Amino acid sequence: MKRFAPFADDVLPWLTCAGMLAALAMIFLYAPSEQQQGAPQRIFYFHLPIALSTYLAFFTVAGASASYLWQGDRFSDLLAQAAAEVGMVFCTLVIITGSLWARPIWGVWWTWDPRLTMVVILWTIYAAYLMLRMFAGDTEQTARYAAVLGIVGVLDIPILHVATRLWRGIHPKVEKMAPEMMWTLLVCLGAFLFFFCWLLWLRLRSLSQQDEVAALRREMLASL
Amino acid sequence: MQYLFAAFCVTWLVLFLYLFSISRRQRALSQEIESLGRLARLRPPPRSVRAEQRAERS
Repeated sequence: MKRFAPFADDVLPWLTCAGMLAALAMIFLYAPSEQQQGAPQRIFYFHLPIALSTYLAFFTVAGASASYLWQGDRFSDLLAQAAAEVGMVFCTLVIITGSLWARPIWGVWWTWDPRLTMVVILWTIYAAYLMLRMFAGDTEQTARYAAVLGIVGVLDIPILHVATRLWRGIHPKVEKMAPEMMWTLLVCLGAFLFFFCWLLWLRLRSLSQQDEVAALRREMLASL
Repeated sequence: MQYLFAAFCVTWLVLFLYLFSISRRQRALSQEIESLGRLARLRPPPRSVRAEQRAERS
């Protein structure tokens, strides 16, 4: 973690800022307008990268949780906790931006389309994960239960991914697109991945410091 | 266009609020570390060390 700190503190914020500025410029100045949907289609350049960052966050939770159950190291547990929190922020944004895109295109804010339903289930699973972390105390047993929930929760993602094809939903599928649209999407994806890594780093550092403070406090109390 | 504007505003607002909440928690943590450090400097040495010091004096 200490080896990664200089890069994360000095480089990631600037990469995020530069990526976001480039993404905004490309969305509004470079990407062509979609003929059928018009302006609201540009929400897609934020919506999809945020959704992919959500996937990455929850896969990180599952991977770190598996590592915690396997090796029992505290770092994996903290990584899972940090990724779950950042993932929840991104998952909430997926639902909000999706809803704002659905209103002008489908005429409704929300519909129980299979993919949308699966996203809500995913959100609920990780909300339960965070509530477990918040209210069940910082014990080894809580960490183990949370790790199991973190692994089980991620099983929703492959189902979510194929939901539109499996149950013939109305959610659009990404098919062929113009090269300008593809480049814009790739830049947005890069920018959001940098943002995700930066947020994950900030939260992970904060959690590990919290851990150190708690240990220091226990040590001081024991020595009195 | 208003939906596009709303989507971008909400995204930025949520992300900035989250960044702000992380930085606030980090500040509180730094203050706690500082006060614990002050306490550690003020408090007497642990019992075992005090016993050793007494043994050395006698």
